[in-house]
Amino acid sequence: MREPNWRRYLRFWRSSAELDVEDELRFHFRERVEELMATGLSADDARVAAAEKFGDVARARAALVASTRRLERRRTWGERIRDVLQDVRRVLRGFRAEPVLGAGIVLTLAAGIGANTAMFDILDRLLFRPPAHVVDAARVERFYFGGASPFSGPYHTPVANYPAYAAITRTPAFDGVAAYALFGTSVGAGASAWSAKAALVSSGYFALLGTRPVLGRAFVPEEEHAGYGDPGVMLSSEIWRTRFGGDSAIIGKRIDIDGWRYPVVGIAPPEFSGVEQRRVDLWLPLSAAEHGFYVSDWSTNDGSFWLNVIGRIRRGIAPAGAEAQASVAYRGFLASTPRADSTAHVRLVPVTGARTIDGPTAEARVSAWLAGIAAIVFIIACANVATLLLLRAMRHRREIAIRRALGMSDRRLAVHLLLESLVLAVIGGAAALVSMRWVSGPLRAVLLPDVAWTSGALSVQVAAITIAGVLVAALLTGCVPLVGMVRGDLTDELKSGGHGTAWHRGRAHTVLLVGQGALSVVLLVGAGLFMRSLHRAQSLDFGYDLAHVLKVQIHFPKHGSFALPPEAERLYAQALARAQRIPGVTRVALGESDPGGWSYGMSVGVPGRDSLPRAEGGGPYVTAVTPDYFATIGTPVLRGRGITSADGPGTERVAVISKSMADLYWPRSDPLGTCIHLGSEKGCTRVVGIAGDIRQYGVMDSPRLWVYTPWSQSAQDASAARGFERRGYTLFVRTSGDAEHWEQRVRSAIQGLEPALPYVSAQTLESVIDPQLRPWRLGATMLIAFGLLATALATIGLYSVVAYTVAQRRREMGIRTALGAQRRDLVQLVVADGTRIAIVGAVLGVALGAAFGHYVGGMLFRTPGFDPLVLGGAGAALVIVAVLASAVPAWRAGHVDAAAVLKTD
Amino acid sequence: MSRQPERDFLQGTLDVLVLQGLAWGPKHGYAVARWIEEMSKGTFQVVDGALYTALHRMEERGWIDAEWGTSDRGRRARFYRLTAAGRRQLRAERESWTGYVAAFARVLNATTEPA
Repeated sequence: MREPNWRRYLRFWRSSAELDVEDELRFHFRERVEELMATGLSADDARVAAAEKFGDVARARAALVASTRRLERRRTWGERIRDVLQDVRRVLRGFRAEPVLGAGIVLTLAAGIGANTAMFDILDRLLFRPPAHVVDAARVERFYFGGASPFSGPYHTPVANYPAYAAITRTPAFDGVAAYALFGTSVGAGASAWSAKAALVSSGYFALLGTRPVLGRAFVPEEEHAGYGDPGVMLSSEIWRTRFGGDSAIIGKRIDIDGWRYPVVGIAPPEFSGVEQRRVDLWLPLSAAEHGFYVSDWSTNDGSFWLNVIGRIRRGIAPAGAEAQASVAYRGFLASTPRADSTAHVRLVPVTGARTIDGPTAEARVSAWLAGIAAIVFIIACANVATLLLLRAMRHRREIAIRRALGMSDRRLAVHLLLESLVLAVIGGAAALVSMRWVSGPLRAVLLPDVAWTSGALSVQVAAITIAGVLVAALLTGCVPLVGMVRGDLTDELKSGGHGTAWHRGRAHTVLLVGQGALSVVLLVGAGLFMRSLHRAQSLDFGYDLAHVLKVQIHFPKHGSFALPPEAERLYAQALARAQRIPGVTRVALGESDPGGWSYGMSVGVPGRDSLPRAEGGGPYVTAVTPDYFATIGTPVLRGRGITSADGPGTERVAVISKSMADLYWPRSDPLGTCIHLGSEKGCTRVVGIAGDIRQYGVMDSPRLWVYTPWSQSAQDASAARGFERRGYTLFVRTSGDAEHWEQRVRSAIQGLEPALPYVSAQTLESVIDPQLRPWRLGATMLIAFGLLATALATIGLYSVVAYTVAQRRREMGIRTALGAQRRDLVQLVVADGTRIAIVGAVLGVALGAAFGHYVGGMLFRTPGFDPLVLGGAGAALVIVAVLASAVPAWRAGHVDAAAVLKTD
Repeated sequence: MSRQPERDFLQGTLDVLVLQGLAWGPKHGYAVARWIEEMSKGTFQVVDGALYTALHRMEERGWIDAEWGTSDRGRRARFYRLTAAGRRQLRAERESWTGYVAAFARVLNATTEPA
C-alpha cells in the first residue's frame, strides 16, 4: 500500500537513528515469524511467540536508539568530511557516464550565474564604489543651484559662475568647496597633435578630494587668480605613461595645450578621474581659462555659468543643515547682483551612487535594466537545468529504487540529489567567476563605453551575490527531482518492471517548459521592440548623408576669445584644395556651421511683414556655404537651384532656404524669387532655391529654419564691407565608399598641410549621431543575444523531454505500428503534444511580453510598446522552433520495429 | 538449563558467545541468535532484546563493526563483524572461560570420589 504523501514527508525528517533501529528490529521479527510459521504455527500465533521471545521491545528499542545516537555523535569531523568528499566523488563519477549532459548543465549554469555576476558588477561599480583615489567619498556632495527665473519658471542647474562659487567657498558647514569644468582640447601641433579631455579645477580641488599626486604637486592658490602668468598642468598617469613614456623628469617640461605652453607640475594617481566617471587626461587650474579655454573675464563674468561645484561636508553636520547654510550664502550673493531671487537655494546630491538631482543617471538606469534581463536569463537557465536533472533522475529511477530498497534512506537520497545540483552549480559558478577576469573588462567597455571604469577585482558584495546565485541555482534545480522522488513518481516505475505502457510527462516538466518558453518569448519581444526602435532611428532622414561624408575641423587655439584667427580663411581654403586631391574623394565643400556642432542664428525679415511665426526647432540659422555644398553633404535641393560659383562678391545677394522655412513663412505662396532681409542688411537677398530639411543635432531634433548664403558673399574680414563676417569653418568631404575608411587618410592629409598646424579632427557624420543611437543599439543587442540564448535553452529542454518520452512510449508505438499506423502518424502524435506546450508557453509569453512592452514603451523611439507584429512574431517563432524540436526526435525514433518491441517485454 | 524464555544470561556470557559467533564472518543479529541456539543444541535460548542490546553495547566498545547489507533473501539487514580489538577480547575471554570451566570440572569431578 502506498504511503500517503504526508507520511512520506514526515519520514523524511525523522532521525535516521530511529529508522535504522526500526529496520533492524523489523527484519529480525520477520525472520523469527517465518521460522515459527515453518514449524506449523499460524501467522498470529507465530507473531505472539516471537514477541514473547524478544522480551521488552520498548525498553530495548529506547536503549538501542540511544546507543545508535551515541555512536553517530562519536563520528569525528574528519569522518564527516571524508563522507562528504566520498559523496562528491560519487556525484562526479555519476556524470562521467554522461559527460555531454554534465558539461551542458555546467555551461548553462555558468552562463546564467555569469550574466548576473557581470551585471551586478557593473551596478556595483556605478553605484557603490567611490571614485578612485577620493578619500571618504561619502561626505563629498555635488551642488545644484535652484531658483525661479522670470522667464522659464523654477529650475535646477549644476553649474554656477565664478563669483557665485567664490561666495560660497567659506560656508562653515563644509570642510572645503571646490569647482571644476570639463573641456575638450587639443595638445601639440602638426602631425603629432592629439585631442585630450581636460578639467579646469579650483586650487583646492585635489586637497578636498584627498588625492595626492604620484609625482610633483597639485595646484597652489595663486594659480586660481585671474591674470596668473604661468599656470601649470597635471597629467593623468595614463597619459604620462603612454604619451610621455613615464619619464620621471617630466616635471617642468612644457606642453602645448590649445596654443599655450604649460609646465607640467604633477602626475595624478592611476585611474583618477575626479568625481565624474569620465576620463580626464589633463588637469589645469582655473586661470588657464583665459589662455584659450574660456573667456578672459572668467573670474568676474557673472553671466556665464560654467563651473560644477562640489563640497565636503564637515563631520557631524547633516546634509540638510549644510544645504541650508549654502542656500543662505548663495541667496546672499545673488542679492548683490541684478539676479536677486528670494527663492534661490542649493541642493546637495552625493557624489557616489550615480545620482543626479533628477534621479539615477542614464548609465545607472541602463545597468539596472541589464541586471533585470540577466535575472530573467538566470531563471531560464535554472529552469532548463531543472528539466534536464529531472529527466536524468527519471532515467535512473531503477537504480534509485534499488538503492532505496537496499536501505538508502530518503534523506540520504535527497542529500545526494541536492549534492548533485550543488556540485554542478559550484563548478558553473567557479567557471563564471574565472571567466569574469577576462570578460568583465571588455564587457563594461562595450556596454557603457563613456564611463571611465576603474580596474580592480570584484567587490565582496558581488562575490557574495555570485555565491548566493550558486546556492539559489542549486536549490531550484535540485528540488525539482527531489520533489519528484518524494512524491514517488520515480519509484512507481519499478513496480511495473519499467515497461509501463502508460506514461505521463509529469506536471513538473510541463510547468518548466511552459515557463521557459514564456520567458523566452518575453525576451524576444523586447528584442523585436528595440530592433524596431533602432531601425526607425537609423532610417530617420537626417537630411544629409551620414555614411559618406566626413567633417574636418582645425582646432585653432582660442586665446581667451572666440574670435577666429586670421590664418583660418587661408588654411581652410588650402584644406579644401588638398582634400579634393585625395583619391576616393568625390566632392568637397566648406560651411560655417556643422552638424552636431555650432549653428549661428540671425534675424530674418520679410518685406511687408511685421511679424514672422516662430519655429519649434529654433532659428532662423544662417550659414555660408561653397558651391558644391549640397551635393557634398547630400541635402537635396528640392526646388530652384543651389549655390553656384556664379554667386560671387559682386553679384546679386542670394540665399537658399530650408523647406520648413518655406512652408512656415510662405504657406500659400511661392518663396522663390522673393526678397528677404538678413540681419541688419538693408539690401535684398533673393531666395533662389529650397533645400531639404536637416536635423542638426540628432534623432530628437525637429527641423529648423535654415538660410544658406554663398561662401564668397561673406568674408572673414567684414570691415571690407563685402558682406557678413565669417563665423565658423567646417570642411566637408564626400567619399566614394564608406567614409569611415577615409577618416585617417583625410585627417593626416590635412594635418600635414603645415608643420605647426593645430590638431585636425576628422569624423564621419555618422559618428556624430551614433552616440544617440547607442541606447537602442545596446538594448537590441542584449535582448537579441539573451532572447536567442533563452530560446535555444528552451528548445534543448523540449527536445530532451520529447526524446525521453518517445523512448518511453516505444511499446505504445510498436502497438500502433502493428495496428497499421504510419511513421507520419506517430510523428504527428508526438509533435502535437510538443506543440501544445509551446502554444501555452507562447500565449503566456505574449501576454507577459505585452506588459513588458508597455513598461519599456517610454524608452523606445517612435515605437509603441504594444506592437502586434512583434508579439505575434515572437510567439510564432517559439511555436515553430518547438514543432521542429518535437519533430526531430519523433522522426528519428519513428521507425519502430513492432515485433521487436513487443517481444522484449 | 531448560527452555525458559525469560532466563537471563549474565552479561559477560552473552558477550563472549556473540563474539565467538562472529568469529567466522559477518552475521546479522538474527543469524547470531540462531547460531547460538543451534551450537548449544538448544541449551541456550537467547532473549532477543538482550542480544541486540549486547550487540550495540559491544559496537560502542569498538569490539564489533556494523554495516547495512542484504540478507540472503534480499532483505535489508544490519551485519556485524569483529574488529581487531574484538578478536583480542574474544581470545582473552575464551582463555578465562576455558580456565574457569576446567576448574569447575575439576571440582565437580573431585567431589564424586568416595571419602
